[in-house]
Amino acid sequence: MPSLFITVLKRLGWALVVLVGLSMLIFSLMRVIPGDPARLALGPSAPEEVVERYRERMHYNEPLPVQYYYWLKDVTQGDFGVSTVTKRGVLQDLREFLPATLELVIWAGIPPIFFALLLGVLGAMYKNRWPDYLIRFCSYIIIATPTFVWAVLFLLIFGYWVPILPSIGGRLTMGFQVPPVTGLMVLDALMAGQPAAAWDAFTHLLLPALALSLGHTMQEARLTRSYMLENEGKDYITMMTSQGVPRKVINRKYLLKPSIIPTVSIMGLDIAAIFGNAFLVETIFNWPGMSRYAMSAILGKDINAVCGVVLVLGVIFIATNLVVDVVVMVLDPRMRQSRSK
Amino acid sequence: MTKGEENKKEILLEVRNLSVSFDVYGKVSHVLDGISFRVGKGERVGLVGESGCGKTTMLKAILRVLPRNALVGGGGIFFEGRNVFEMPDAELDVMRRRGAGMIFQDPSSALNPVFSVESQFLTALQYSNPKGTPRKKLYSLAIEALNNVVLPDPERIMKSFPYQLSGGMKQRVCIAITIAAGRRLMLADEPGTSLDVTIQDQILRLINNLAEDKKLSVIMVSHSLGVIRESTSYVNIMYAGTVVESGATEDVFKKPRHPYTVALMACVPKLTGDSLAKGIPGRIPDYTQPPGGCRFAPRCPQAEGVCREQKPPHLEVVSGHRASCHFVRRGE
Amino acid sequence: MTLLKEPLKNSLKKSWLKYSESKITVLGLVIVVGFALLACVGEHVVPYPEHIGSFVDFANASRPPNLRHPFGTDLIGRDILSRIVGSFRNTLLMGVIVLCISAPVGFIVGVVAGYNKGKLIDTVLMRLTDIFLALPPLVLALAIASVLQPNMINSMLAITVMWWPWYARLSYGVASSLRTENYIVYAELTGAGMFHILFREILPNCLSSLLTKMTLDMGYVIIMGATLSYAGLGEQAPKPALGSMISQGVKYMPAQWWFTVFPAIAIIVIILGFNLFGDGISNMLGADES
Repeated sequence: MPSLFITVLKRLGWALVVLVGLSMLIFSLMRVIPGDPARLALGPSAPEEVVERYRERMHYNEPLPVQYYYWLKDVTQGDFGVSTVTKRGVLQDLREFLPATLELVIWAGIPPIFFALLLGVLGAMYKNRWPDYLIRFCSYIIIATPTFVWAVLFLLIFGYWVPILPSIGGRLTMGFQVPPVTGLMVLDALMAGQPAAAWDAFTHLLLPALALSLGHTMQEARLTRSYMLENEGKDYITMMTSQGVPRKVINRKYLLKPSIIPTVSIMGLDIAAIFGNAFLVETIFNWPGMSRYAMSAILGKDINAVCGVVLVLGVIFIATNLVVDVVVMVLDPRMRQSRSK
Repeated sequence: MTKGEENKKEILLEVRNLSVSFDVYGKVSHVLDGISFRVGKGERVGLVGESGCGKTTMLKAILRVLPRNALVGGGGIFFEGRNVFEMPDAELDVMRRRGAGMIFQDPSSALNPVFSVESQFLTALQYSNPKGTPRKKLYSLAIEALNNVVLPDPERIMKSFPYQLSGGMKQRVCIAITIAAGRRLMLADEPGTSLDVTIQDQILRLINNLAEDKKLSVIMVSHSLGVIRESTSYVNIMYAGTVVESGATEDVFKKPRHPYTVALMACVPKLTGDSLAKGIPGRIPDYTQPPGGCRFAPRCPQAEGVCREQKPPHLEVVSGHRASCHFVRRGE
Repeated sequence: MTLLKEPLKNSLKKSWLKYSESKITVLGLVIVVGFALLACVGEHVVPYPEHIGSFVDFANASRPPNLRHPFGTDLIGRDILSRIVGSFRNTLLMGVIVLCISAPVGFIVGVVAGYNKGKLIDTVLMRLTDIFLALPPLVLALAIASVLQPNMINSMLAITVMWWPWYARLSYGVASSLRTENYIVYAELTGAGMFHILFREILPNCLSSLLTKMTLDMGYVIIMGATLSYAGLGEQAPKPALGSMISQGVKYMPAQWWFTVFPAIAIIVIILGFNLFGDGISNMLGADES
């Protein structure tokens, strides 16, 4: 598929442009902050000449574009500066906290889409009968509930009232020792041959992942249902029916595929929104991830850490969208053509 | 063989007093109102009328693929003597798979955009051939059909996705899918209307040639009198879900009896005439509240009281030529 | 006059029929109207208007729901029902102001880029839009809110900054497909300026999709606002905000569950109302055939 390859290359090129733009945005955001960045980094008690030396070293006396150049140079070499909260390199912090967030987002973003498609198809199949009404009723309520409210309610219900699931204990119950390989706890535990630890890690994931995914799952289900119903009236479905192709074959293959493509293509946005909501959910469940780290950085005005996290998220977001686009192009041949033209 | 003999040939399809209505936003829209016509074996029959007169609904009813909100109010459609609406599923499948097939008006919407031609073609063939027919055999049937519709490089066509084909090619593919299974009746819904005039002409000629070669019966739906005159031997003029006039194409064109047919023919610009096309004032009635008597009455220049109160009978004017109008007389 | 009145009445009736086609959207309208009324006159109808501000009554602190305080009282004895209703005005303002700024800004950016498709200005504007869209929505808002003073206005600003690109995308799509339409080309040929074409020719064609998106977005903007407020970046104490009421209540779970549960239910009902209302409006404005 050479056209697919070219399209991906073009996308990568644009992604790079967007990333540079994003870094400019973040950089100017940083410099908008009132106050002297050097003073802010070293604290009020540092002697003036130390601050001045720091200023010199960080090029804070140069004009903004020059500052940006030096900052970008450092960032591209992986140097995001030092976090004023943890007093460690931001990169080091990110390495430690990113895997927990990734694991959470993967569990919240990928398996639920299968439930979403299933519910959407069920709703369309039983249009205006009780399964459809039930699904629609639930989806209205679930979509109307903000993610952080889910997290708080889960904490209240499963953490205190019916404490059947771990809710604020981090990623693993004390006592389990899982050697980190990928940083994804369930996977690492399985690779280390510790099914009990994998199950334990999974139960820890369940509540935050559920809180993050519920709204999107129902949103995707609604979308799938409406596209199933819309496409059901299309000529190509009528044509197949008129040729005597069994209903089941049509529904499972020829109706399903065009109807799920729009749902799949918004997955990139959904995963991005999950990353965003993870900021609060990780804080609520005390999940030791990057978002909780970033949240405390935001509240503590830890600029270097905020920039680091934001840039990493930008890269992840762009990469996710690229993957989703490729999946959509594989599913929908039309997308291959219109983009490469 | 004269026209009269042709009509007496064995009947393949008969539509008898068919009424179909739709449920739209809680209102009932009475679209088809007592339609009757016949199609003989190997015969090409036309359905003519303005857009919105129920032609497509008529075709979809034959294959029982009406939208969910459609209601069959009365009458029946008999394919080889069996009522389509009373067929058990298995029999309906047989009719759809090998009996009758439809060609849709817009070829770009009739093919699934996310599956290759091969996938769609072979799925259709798989069910219209005996169970367990090897895929290779199905493939060669498909290639043969694509050759029959004069498509170059059929192997490449099979691999293509609909967006890679032109409108004319898609229409040919649809025709190929319909004829490949040896169906006896082709329902052609305004074939080629959405395409270039020259392509449309080619498609029509293709259908006519195929019909002759394969002894196919065809119901040709069109709003163009020219198309009908060229490709059919018998014609039904439809207005607002009723057949207002029917007869051998030649007769109807020579001497139209119903005021609607007369007006419709006056709309066709003639190269020789000295007046411009007149057009018919007014528009197709609101199907939720159709006129009580003759449906054409509100637009008819000759309408009188009786037209608004009573439905006119479908009267045989001369042998084989009928019209539904209170003002036509037998033998005139 | 009578001639004009009749069709207007008919079209209103038709709009209402379309809106109420799905009965549940009527419930949405009821919720939205009720919410808007309370947002306007809330402090005059609540049982304890003074509790909306910085009121202290330790004698009645942390009372569970009872007849005098149906939703209970908070840590310093304020009536939670009054505080919930008291927060409605800011909640509503959040949605209205954010959308009323981001939609026009996004429209102008999108329509100018779309109308000049393929030119430099298109590339510049749409890449700029892409940059704003290259971050998960909440993250950008959090980052912006964090560098500013935490208050209501700044949280609105933060949400507006992340919201306009979506309207730019929408208007871009419409404008770039309309620019080759005959009536636009005729307008160009008769010497119409860009301003005329953008606002007189393209805007009317975008309007119903813009309005539909605005009503559908209302609930999401309110969710965002509540989320920022939960994070401590919205309205500050002693003024009430649903998000901050929940986040303060979390510390006292499960014993004082009513601190969190009632504001949570309030948010859910409001969002539900706006979502249903949005669905009704999109039924009304969308798909005009048949």
